[in-house]
Parts: sequence; structure tokens; C-alpha cells
Amino acid sequence: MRAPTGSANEPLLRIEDLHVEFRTGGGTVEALNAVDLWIDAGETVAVVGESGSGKSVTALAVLGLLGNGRVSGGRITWDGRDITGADNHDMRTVRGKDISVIFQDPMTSLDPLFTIGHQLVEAYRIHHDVSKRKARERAVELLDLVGIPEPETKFKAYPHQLSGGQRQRVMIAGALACDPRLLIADEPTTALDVTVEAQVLALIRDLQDRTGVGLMLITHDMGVVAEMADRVVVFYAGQVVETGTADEILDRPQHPYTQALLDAIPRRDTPRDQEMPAIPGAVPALNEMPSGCRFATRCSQAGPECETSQPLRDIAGRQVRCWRPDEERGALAPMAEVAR
Amino acid sequence: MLLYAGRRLTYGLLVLALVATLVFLIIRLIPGDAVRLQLADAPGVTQAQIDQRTAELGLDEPILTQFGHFVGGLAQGDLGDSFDDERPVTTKILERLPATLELGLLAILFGILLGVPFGMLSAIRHHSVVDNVMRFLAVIGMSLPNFWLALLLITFLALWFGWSPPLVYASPTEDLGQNLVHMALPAIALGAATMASIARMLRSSLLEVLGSNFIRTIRSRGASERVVVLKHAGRSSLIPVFTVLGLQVGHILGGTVILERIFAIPGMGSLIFEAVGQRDYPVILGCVIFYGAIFILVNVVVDLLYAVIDPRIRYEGASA
Repeated sequence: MRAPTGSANEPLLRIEDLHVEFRTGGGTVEALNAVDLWIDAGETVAVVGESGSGKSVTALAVLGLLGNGRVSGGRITWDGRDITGADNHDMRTVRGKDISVIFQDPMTSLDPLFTIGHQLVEAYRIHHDVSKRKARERAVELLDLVGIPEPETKFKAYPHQLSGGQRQRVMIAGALACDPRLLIADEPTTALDVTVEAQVLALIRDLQDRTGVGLMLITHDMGVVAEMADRVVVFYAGQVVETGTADEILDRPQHPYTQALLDAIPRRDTPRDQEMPAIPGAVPALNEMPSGCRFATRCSQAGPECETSQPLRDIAGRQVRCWRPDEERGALAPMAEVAR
Repeated sequence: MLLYAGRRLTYGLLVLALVATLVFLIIRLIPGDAVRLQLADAPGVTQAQIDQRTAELGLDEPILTQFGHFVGGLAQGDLGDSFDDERPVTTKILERLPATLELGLLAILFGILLGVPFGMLSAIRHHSVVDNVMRFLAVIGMSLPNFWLALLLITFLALWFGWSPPLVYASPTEDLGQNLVHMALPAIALGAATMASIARMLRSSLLEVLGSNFIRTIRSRGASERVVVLKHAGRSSLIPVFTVLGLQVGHILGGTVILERIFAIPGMGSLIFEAVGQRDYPVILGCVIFYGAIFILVNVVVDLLYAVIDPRIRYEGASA
């Protein structure tokens, strides 16, 4: 499962041992701790985890848009080129052109003071030295591509005149304006109605089929993962805890956290009087991370060895950061009761 | 859009009418009598002469009748005649208006030309030394009374450079160079607070916008910081800045009264100053109406600019 390191098979995006810290009023906190992740051309990788687990921070780190945060260790390689901590000027040639991003909230992600056409023209002209008329043609084409009806008319619309779903379509159009090779979709449907969510996901998949763009899909919705992903990377508290193919992870999760995530999906056949399965407790605060397993305090399988930190290990054909993965659990006595 | 403009203008006229009424009543409450002030110094003035003059000026009539005359004249664009030299108030004001407008515009220009870059620099380099110095200066600029700042400027320029502003006023058409030299100090003294307010407001609104989602979108597409700050964040930050500017016009107009006096500029400010001294009611009232009209007009324009800047306000206005 480990990405091959030879240059011939170099993945599109490779993140190795990435550490990110943020300056806050009370010092620095580490938001990412040793994150490893790679995405091949054209593939869809789902990044899942709770809010605050570092999914979005990973995306922003790739684009160099961390704001008051900074990469404090590790390496980000784009198409064989090291872009770790590249300066703003260098990153600008990557942003939008090689890697594009769709953000979570389409209601606030477009500039309210400019028409959507203007914003698409701008997105295209950042990386293409063409006349406004040429760019306008491209913008209308993009609006058509993302399924906006009457693109010529809608070109002149302001964001507040569009629905949430339409705005997200415009965001997608803007992200695809320069034919990027990787699209990062940061919870693209979280803010949308369920019916619109399905449309937007279908659109993304359709565009992926047509353009061959790679997709890093950040989500906390396991249903979306099952629908879209080739591979899955599970985040917990700033670390990758499990990564493997979507089938493996959905069918036979190894990390107790992944298992708990999957169990937490409500099913139609669950009896009403049965309690909703939820993971007890909360993610530890970034400045109070335990030195051992970060999930141990909430884990039903935790044992004494969980107090020491563990690396990602190759288990059952994927990588898992756990001393007691499902695969090996049979051999160990269940310690949950003892530990509590 | 037209409807929106019309409504703003109507509100403005209502406010102006209220201001005129209030001032009409208040100036008559100021102690001192216009006639006595005019005639007091002359030797051998009899009560009969005082009464006669009072009647001439119409001050013997009941206050409501006086008000009726005033409103009647106002409706025809007639602000009455000055008690002092009996020339029409409108003529007197229009003679003085250009100098005041020039001073006010120069002060605003000074405020914008310095305040905008200062505010931007502060926001882009926030929490840097530059930012802290600017913020400190902004607080000083806002707290210093303009006339005191003017006196400081005169004093220290004279002390350090042996330079003082010209004493004789020249209109821009007579001698533009001398006129501008004359206007420079009062304009700076008047505009300092405007500059400080703009810098502070622009800093905070820019900072807020720069942290917003749509700015992140634009950055994520590879836009240069110039486009991000000047075009997108800049435009979004304009509305609060224009609001401040509209209010600052009030301060500047008020400031002209003292500063024109200090620098011997024959504008509306010195006219109203003299008029108050002589209880020249029609001139005071006329000046206040002009000042009020300018202030209200500027703020109507600001309201209209909101709509130009922000399409959401535009459409709201059209549908309401």
C-alpha cells in the first residue's frame, strides 16, 4: 500500500511526515502531527475525520494558505517538486493552475461585490494571458460545464442572486477554470440540502470522468466516502490513524476509531428504542494531547501499551496507527474493562 | 436606484427643516440683543431709536410671526437680509462659500491621501512596528483639537524654519500658489482627524475582510496580493470608510469656523463667527442651513455610493 518512491511512479501529491503548528495567544499548538498522505493522478482520496482533526489544515498546508500557521516539519511534494514552505510567489503558480480547491461554505466563498462572470474571468486570466473577450467565452463555457442554466445570462448575476447549490457550482467552475490536475474539495456539500448534495457530488464525479482531475475529498460523511472514494485516509486529532482502499476500510476497518465512525452512521433498520451509537468523550484539545495514542481515552479496546505512541504500521494490506488493530485483537485479551 | 436616491434625499430635506427650525429658536435664546449690540456704542442713542431699529429688523413681532416670515422667504429661496449691512444673506454666503469649500476639500483630500495608505499598510503588516506606530499616531490625530494642532503647526514652523503662513488671503483665481500655501496649514490641521479616522477604520475593516472566506477563495486561485488587497478586500472595506468620511465632513465643516478665523480666511466659517458676535440672526441661520445642506448632501451621496459599491444594497433598495 505504501506509495512507490521511484520517480517513475511518483504520485501527483505526496505529503510526508507533515507537521503544522499555529501561533495562538498562549503559544503554539500543533495541528498536524506526522501526516502521511499521497494522491495519484486521477484518483479520488477521501480524507475523513471529525471537525478539528486536521483535514482542512492539511489542504491549506498544501496550498500554502495556512495564515498564521506554518509547516514546522515534513515535506510536501507536488509532481516530484518540493513545495514545502514555498514562498507566496512560487505557490501562486501552483494555486488554481495545478491544485484547485472548493471550500465548504458556498454562501461566503464568492466575493459578493463582483458578478460571478467577473470572478470566473479573473480566475482564468490569473494563469492565462488572454483578452477579456476570450476569458469571457471560457467563463460561459465553464458555467455551462457545471450545469448552470442560461450561462450567458447568469454570467452577469451576483452571488446573492444564486441558490447555495448554484453558488457551489460556480465555485467548482472557478476551481476548474485552469484545468488543474488536483481538485481539493473541502466538505463541498456540508452546507447544502441533501438533494442538492447528490447533484453536486454527481457533478464532481462527472467532471472527474471528463477531465481526469485527481480529487482529494474532505468529508466526515461515510456515505459520501462509499459513493466517491478510491482510497480513504482517516484523520484523528491531527494524525492519520488509518489509510487504505475504500473497500478495505469500509468493509473491514482496523482502527477502533474507524470502526466507531462507521458504527456511528444511523441505519434505517436500527430499532428506534436502541441508543444511537456515538463515540464517548471528545477529541483532546490540541495543547493537551496525550503522549501515547490520541484516541486511547475514548477507545473501547485501549490497553496499557496504548500509553506509548505508535507509528503507522502495515496491517492487513493497509496502514494503521494502532497497537490493537482488529486483525491482531483476537490474540490479545480485551483490556477495555481492565483499563477503566 | 432612483427611488432609493429620492428617498434618501427626502429624509435629508426633513432633517434640514428640523435643523433650521431648531436653530431659528435657539439663536433667539442667546443672551444679547442684536439692536443694542449695533447701537450700544454710538453716543446719545435714545430708546426711540432703539425701538425704531427693532421694528426695522422685524424683531418686535411675535416669534411665530417672525418664523412665518422666515419660512415664507425660505420657500422662495430668500434667506432674508443681514442685520449688519442689509445685503441679502444668500449673496453674502455665496461670496464666502468657495473659500470654505476649498478648505474643506483640501482637508478631506489630505485625510484620504494619507489615511488610505496608512490604513492599508497597518492592515497588511498588522501587529508590526509600522502598525503600532500608525495606530498610536491615529489616536493622537483623533484626539487633538484641530485648532490646537493648527497653533502648534504655526508655532513650530515659525520656531524651527522661521516660516509662517501668509497673512493676506488671496483667492485661487488671483494667486493660486499663495492661496495653496495659505490653505495648507489649516487643511492639515482640519484633515488630521479625518486621516486618523480613515486609517483606523480602513485597518479594521480590511483586516476583517482579509480573513473572510471569499478572500481565501481568491488566494487559492493564485491571485496576487495586489489583486487580493486592492481589488477585492479594498472594495469590501470601502463602505465603512465612506461612512466615516461622511461623518468627518461634519467635523471638518465645524472646524472651518475656528480655523478660518485663526488663518484669516474669508469663508463661511469666519462669516458665521462674525454673525454670532453681532447676533446677526439671518446670517447665522443662513450659514447653518448651508452647512447643514452640505453635510446632508454629502451623506446622501455616501448612501448612494453604498449602493454603487454593493449590489446587495442596490437590489434591496429597488425592491423596497
